[in-house]
Formats: sequence, structure tokens, C-alpha cells
Amino acid sequence: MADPAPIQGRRAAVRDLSVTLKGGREIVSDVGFEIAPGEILCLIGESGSGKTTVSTALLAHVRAGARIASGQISIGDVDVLSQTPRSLLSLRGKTVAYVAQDPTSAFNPAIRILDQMIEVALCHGWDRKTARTRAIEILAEVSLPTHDDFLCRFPHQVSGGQLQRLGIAIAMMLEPAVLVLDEPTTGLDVATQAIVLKLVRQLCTDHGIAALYVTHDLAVVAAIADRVAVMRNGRIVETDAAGPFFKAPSHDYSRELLQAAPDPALARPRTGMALGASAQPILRVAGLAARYGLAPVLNEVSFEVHAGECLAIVGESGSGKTTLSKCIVGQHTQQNGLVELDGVALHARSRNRSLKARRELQYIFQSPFSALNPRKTVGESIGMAHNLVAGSKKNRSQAVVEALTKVGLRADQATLRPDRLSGGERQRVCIARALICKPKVLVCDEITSALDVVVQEAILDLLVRLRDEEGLAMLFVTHNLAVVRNLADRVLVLDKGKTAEIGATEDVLTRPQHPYTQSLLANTLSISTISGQRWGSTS
Amino acid sequence: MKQPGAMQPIAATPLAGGSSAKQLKWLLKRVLSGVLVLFVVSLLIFVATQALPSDPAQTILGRQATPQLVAALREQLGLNRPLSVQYLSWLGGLLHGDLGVSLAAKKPVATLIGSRLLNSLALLLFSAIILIPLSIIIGVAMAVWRNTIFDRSLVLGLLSLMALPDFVIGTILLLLFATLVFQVFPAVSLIPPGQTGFSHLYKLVLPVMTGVLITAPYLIRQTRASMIEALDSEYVAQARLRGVDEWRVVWRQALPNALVPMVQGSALMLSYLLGGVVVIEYIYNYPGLGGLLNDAVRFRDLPVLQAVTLIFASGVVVFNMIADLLTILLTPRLRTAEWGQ
Repeated sequence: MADPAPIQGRRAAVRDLSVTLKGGREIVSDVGFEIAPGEILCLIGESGSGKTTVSTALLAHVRAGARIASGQISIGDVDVLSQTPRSLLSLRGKTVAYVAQDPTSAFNPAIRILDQMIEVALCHGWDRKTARTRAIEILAEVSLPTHDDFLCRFPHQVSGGQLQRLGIAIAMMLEPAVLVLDEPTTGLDVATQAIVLKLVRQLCTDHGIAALYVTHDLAVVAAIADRVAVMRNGRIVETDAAGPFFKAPSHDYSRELLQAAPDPALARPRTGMALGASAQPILRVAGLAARYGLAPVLNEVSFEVHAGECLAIVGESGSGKTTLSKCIVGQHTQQNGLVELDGVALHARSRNRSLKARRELQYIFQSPFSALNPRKTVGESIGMAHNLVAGSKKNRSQAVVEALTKVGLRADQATLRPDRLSGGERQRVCIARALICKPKVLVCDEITSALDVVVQEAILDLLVRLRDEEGLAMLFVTHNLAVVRNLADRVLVLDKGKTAEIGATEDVLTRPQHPYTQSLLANTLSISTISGQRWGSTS
Repeated sequence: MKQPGAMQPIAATPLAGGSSAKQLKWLLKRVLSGVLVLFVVSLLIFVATQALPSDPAQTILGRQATPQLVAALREQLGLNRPLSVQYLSWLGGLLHGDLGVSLAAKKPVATLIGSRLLNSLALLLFSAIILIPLSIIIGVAMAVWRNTIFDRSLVLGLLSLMALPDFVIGTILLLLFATLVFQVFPAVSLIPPGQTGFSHLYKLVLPVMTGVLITAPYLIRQTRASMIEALDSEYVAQARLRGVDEWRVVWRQALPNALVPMVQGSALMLSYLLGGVVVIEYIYNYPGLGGLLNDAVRFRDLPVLQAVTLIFASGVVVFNMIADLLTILLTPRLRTAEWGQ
């Protein structure tokens, strides 16, 4: 990527951009950057930092309730912010195009995919026949099928990875000068992510497109960025070429981001109690099979977890990870096989389990946003679990405070409702609610995937502490191998409901035996590895 | 820069092929379940009118009737037979198209119903023709200009209309257009015997207007709500960011996704209107099924009562079946799941 020649592209420039909310609060302040043709600028930062607001401003769009207060955005010699509503229509899609985060909701479920592609061209004055030819041409370029059977499909008949390629194809229909991509690979599995990243890189180079790539995943940044801009609280705190950024970030916050980012190539040293101290496993699963209706989802899965041990369950979406954890906590009843807690077999339905078994086996959900009752205060939510366990309200407030302190929250936060808390704080509340039950096993289902890296790091620290100090056994379901390396003692790799591989984390991640594990590892982006390849050093 | 894995074209997984046999099977299943519903309804009607402890013969003749008279009528109506025999003979008659003989008019029920059914259908048909497009246009306009003065005042007006009882709406229209204020339309919509509402459209205006005013507020609000949901969706936002103009966004992107609740709402409203004709026909003296039902209740005319109720029930079943069929046609995800492509 030494010299991306400006084939036909135009330069995108943002100067002194400020966006304010109706109340007058500024959510983006004095943001400025330039993107050269053929160049990819990655805009990174935690959620709420204003990344998305800046990215849509390039299309002269802000979300309802906000407005662009000042600043200038130009693409070539076109002034984006001074367009009439009519000329804006021809600007969008033709001069600057947008690729959304979630491909499944970005497509109209009622319109066939070819028609959705053609529509963009029709709206910009093309005739149907030319538009169709162009659609087929661009489909071939993004390596999608071009036969009629595919073109006539509805979005729900196309996989998520294909849909995201289609999203990029639609954006490319009119060969825009600037492409804005908002976390386009966040919902995709690692193999598809690798393909999409390569595609974006290639398109930008071949067509001289200036791209703004918004993401919070630093490994993606390492793989694709020419330059990096770091946003925090609505301001850009650092803009740098990617190489120097990863080698020596100049701003404190950038350093913090880089340190917090888990890296599958770097392990965290383990402290605390040694493994194998207790002979009897706390959780034993033997020959577990599960199905949805007639479709088998899990097949003969067996493993053991000891006290103070963390077993990671890894696999692509659809591999049966979540079903496995649901079977264990008794939320999926179409199961056969044995689930044993502390030597006692558990019923498939949690309702039929003893109170003790339910107390000792706690489940933490993926999204902390929907797992808490929005009408109850934090103290009430945690306290309710206490009532169930203790059987009375005795010592309730004391127990709540204790649980909150344990997860690093303040006692006075018990009076708040969830909407006053950040995502990370909410997940801590969920963990506190589980801890007040004095569990022996925690089942964590992708509990950090909705969180930013810095927050994720803090939650992982908390889990490590609970594991080492309290001897909690953990089942950690994830698709993020970097997190696995940081937390898990052993790894179980699931592939289409079967155990592809199980073993110590170090062994599985460095010497994967199963082809599925190998491909999973090959496609997982590692900042240090990529940095090493691209700029010849490790961060 | 090196990237792991070469980019290979994704082969599309073949789809399960659809066939007309699948559609036929689906349709057959729905028709069968509709017939089953009607069968259950016929049982309920029979139980409610004939099998309950109160003696229909006594009810028909009134309290002053002599026991001999009651006994004679019981004999004539076949009420002395076991209940199962009574039901089966009624059902058997229905299946042969024999609806029985009216007790009050002493004429076959089928002849009584004939022209009145057509009159009611005329009322329903013209109401539907106005109701559905009107609701779509107003609902869509309210969604597009939501929270403007236009939208807010309409929301308020519709709510007031919904709060008014049906007969009040009918009476107000009557006062407004037929008697007190303007005398444009006839206050009484009598149709001469042997003719139907289809040849007296002028007399249908007020009844149809009442029917539309009764049902439209609900359907408009439903349209507005589902259009707002569609307009706020991610795919509409994406279409706008691609430079798709607002006209296309509303009619091509949003409306197809908002139609399903409207279809279901229309079926509900037409079913409601089927019952609502009783009130409307009473106000305007329009000779339809509603008036017939009214008279049948007044004269305890069991065969007529049973027949008209069963027709109303069939209407509800048919409307819902059509709505379900349209729902599947309008939702690609359902269509492909049920029928393949």
C-alpha cells in the first residue's frame, strides 16, 4: 500500500465540525481531518464518543434532535453542508456512500436484492437496463453470485456475510468518491470479517476511493487503516499514520485503548490458586445432546469444570454455544444427557431443580441493557435475588452493599435505575446480582461483546479476581479468541454442535489440532501480529 | 499487506423450490380449518338458540299461551325430539341449502334472506371500497407529517369519533344531511321489493358514510402507527442515505412493510361492520340482513335467527382467511417459508 495513486478520486475534508443537541449540549466539537483518494482513515473511540455522528455528517445527515452547528465538509470541490434538499439527494449515493453496521436491518425485507441495488441507480437518473448491467458487474467484483436465482432473492434468503458484501456493492453502485463504513464487520464471524476487510481495502485501492472506517475494534484498525483518528468525548485527540500509532501512540487515551485491547497473541500471566486442587469437578457435563424441534443443535458434548477454573466455549455463530449454556442452566428442555453440579444430577428444566442447585449455578446474559428491569433500582434488582436465596429480607441492604462493593460499584449506586448507568456498570450489576446468590459456577454468555475494550478489560479483571480469590468456576461463552487467551484455563471449541477440540488454552491456541480451530485462529486478527507484518515491530 | 485467506466467491446455497402444489395444499388446509370453525359456530348457535333450558315454544308464544298451544308448537318445531337429532336435522338441512321455514313470515328462510343479503353486501362492499384507500391515504399522510398540527388535530378528531357510539354517528349524519341542516340524501333508505341496493346507490350514501365513519378511525390509526414504525426503520434510513427520494421512500420502501397490520385491521373492521349493519340498517330503515336479524329477535323467529347468525359468522371466517392469504403474499419471509419461492 505504498502509493495509492489517485486514479479518479477526490479528497474528503472535514474542518471544525461541531454538532449540538437540541438542548445546546455539544456532542462533536471542532473535529477536523482529511482523507486522500485511495486512503482508509479509521475513526476509533468508545461508544458515545461521537464516531457515528461524525461519519454520517459526511452525508450531511445527523440523527433526530441534533444539528450541525458549525464547520465545513467538502468532497473534492463540493461543499457537502450547503446543499439544497434536492442536490443532497444526488450527492448521497453518488458522491458519498454509506455502509451500515447491521446488514440484516439495513435491507428492506420486502424488496428483492437486485431491485434494491438498481433503485439507487434509478434514483440518480439511470435507466433500468444500464443499472442492471452495472449491478451484475459490481456483484462480480465483490465475489457474489450473479445468476438470476440469487438476484431474485429476498434479504432473508441471503447470509449475513453475503448481505454485508451486498451493502458494500450497493454503496459502490455509482462509484462514489468517498465511502463511509460504520462498523461493517461487528456482527460478522471472523472468517467473514477477514473477507470483508480485504474487499474494502481492494475497492479503495482499485477505485481511488477515500474511506472513513468507523470501528472500536483495534485489531480491525491494525489490519486495514492507513491512518488512525482517535475520538473521545466528541473531540479527536490524536490523528496519526497507522504504523507510528501502533508503535508509539502519542495521546494517553490512545495508549489506554491499546493496552486494554485484548490480544490473542499475548497471554495474561495467571495468579492465584493452582488448578486441580480439588479432585471432584464442580460441574460435569456428559453426553449432552440438544435439539430445536427436529433439528439437532448439540451432539454428545462432555466436559468437566473444577472450582477456580474457567472453561471457555468457543465457536462461530450457530455452533451451539448459547444452546449449550442454556442447557446447563435449565432454560432449554429439549436435551438429553447428564448435567451434574457438585455430584448431583440436574433436571433439564430449571423450575424442577432444587433451590440450592439454582442458587449455585448463576447465568449472566450477553446484553446488560435488557437483562435488568428498567423500572427497578439496582438495589431492588440485586435485593430480589437476595430474598430468594436468604428466604427473607434480613440483612438485605447489607448484602446488597457487599455485592456492589465486590464488583467495584459504589454503595450509593443502589438507588439508581439502570438507565442512569453505563453499559459496563450495568454488566457489573448483573454480576453482583449473580454473586449475591453465592454461586459455585458462573455461566457467562458473551458478556463482554456489547462493551467497549476499556470496559471489557475492567470486567475481565473482575472475573479473573472472582475466579482466583473466590474459587468460582466459570463457563465463558465467546467468539472472541483474544478474550479467551486472557481469561480461560481451558478451551472447548464447538463446531456444528460437536466438540471439535478441548484442551488447555495455551495448547489449543498455539497448536490447534482440528482444522476448524486452525481456520478460526488464522482468521482472528491480532494487533501485534498484524503490526509486526505491516510495520515490522510488535506493540 | 498480507491478508489471511484468498477471497473466494461465495457459492449461494440452493433454495428449496416452491410449487403450486404447495400453495394448493396450504389453501386447502385453510379452507378446511375455516369449515371446522363454521361447524363449531353452528354448534354454538344451536346451543344458544334451541338447546338452552328455556323453552323456545313458550318464548315464541308468550306467557299467556295455553299449555295445549305450547305443546302443539313444540310438536310442530320438532322440539320433542332428542337434542342431537334436532341439531343433526338442522345441520343436514343447512348442508342441503335448506335453511328452514320462517315462523313469523311462514316463508322459506332462503327467500327472505336472498335480496336482503345482496343489500347488506352492497353496503359492505361500498364501505370497504371507500374505507380501505381512504384509511391508507390519511394514515400515510399522518405518519409522514407526524406531530404537525395536521396530524395532531386529526388524531384528536379520530379519537372523538371512536368515542362516539355507532348509532350517535348515524343519527348525526341523518340530522346533518337528511333532515335538519341539508336535505340532500333520503332519510329513509327503503329499497322496493325485488330490487337491490346496487340499483339505488343514491340511497346507499348515508348508510355507507356511517359505516366508513364507524370503522375508519381505527384503521387510520393502525395505518399511521405501522407506517411510523416502517419510516423509523433502519432500512428506510439507509435508503435516504443512498439518495432515494422521499416519494419512493414512503410508497416503495415503507408502505409494503406497513401493509400487513392494515390488512389484518381491514379484516377486523369488515367483520365489525358486518355486525354494525344491524345499527346502520335500523337507523336508515335499510332492508338488509341486520334488519332481518332485528325482526327475527323480536318475533323469536328461530330459523331466521340461526341462518342470519351463521351468515355473519361465515363472513368473519372468510374475511380472516383472505387477510391471512394477503399477509403471506405481502411478507416475503412468510411466503418463502410456506410456499418456497
